[in-house]
Amino acid sequence: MTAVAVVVTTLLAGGAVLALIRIVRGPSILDRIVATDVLLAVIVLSIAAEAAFSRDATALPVLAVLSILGFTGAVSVARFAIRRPATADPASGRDPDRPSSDYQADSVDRPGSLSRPEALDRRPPEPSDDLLDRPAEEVR
Amino acid sequence: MSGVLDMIAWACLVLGALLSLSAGVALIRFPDLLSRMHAATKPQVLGLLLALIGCALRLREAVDITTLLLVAAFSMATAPVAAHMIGRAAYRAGQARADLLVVDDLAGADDKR
Repeated sequence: MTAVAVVVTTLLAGGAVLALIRIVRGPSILDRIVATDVLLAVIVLSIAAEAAFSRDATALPVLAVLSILGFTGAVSVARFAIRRPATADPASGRDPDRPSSDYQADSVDRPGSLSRPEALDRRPPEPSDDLLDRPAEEVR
Repeated sequence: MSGVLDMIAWACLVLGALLSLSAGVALIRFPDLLSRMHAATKPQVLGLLLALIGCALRLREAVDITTLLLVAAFSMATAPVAAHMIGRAAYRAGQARADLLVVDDLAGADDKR
């Protein structure tokens, strides 16, 4: 039993250290959220393992609290991170491999964006004529 | 009988711990956010369930097993929602590497926000 405890502790500690390295290195806030979720899962696993080894149910309510808390933290930080491309800093959260035309500001909801004239004449693209002339089977 | 249950509990705990170590390795080695999320779900779901099963096999009391079932239900209900939010934020922030995607169903979407 002690050998099993040592093995489980070593494995969990390794996972926690690697998740911590990812939290420190980032590079983006979303990577840190994912690594924090893994760290929280490791903590929950270690509390459950401790309860199993000592046959002591004192720490079990902590598991319930942690499982709710991790969800709340992840969702709130993700809601925060989703607004980052709309800020004035265009360099944040961009993938250098993708062309910059992917990141044009046409979908950015900035206050006062309706005052720009090009925002007013945005309309859906019209279907091309040759698509309409063809029989329905070809179009599909 | 009790020894057999203990053996199964140890096996479940060791497997869960192994999954968390593999998730840590994958967090370091995988190239982008979506693949890291894929690895991160292993200890969050399977590892957690294995650890809770191991814990329940050791404690063997109705009150404790009810608490463990509650923890499992919370985690199963909330983990997909959190992963969905993170994945959507990642795609909209341009963090999903297009060269690693097999299918990108949102590529032609007009409204990427």
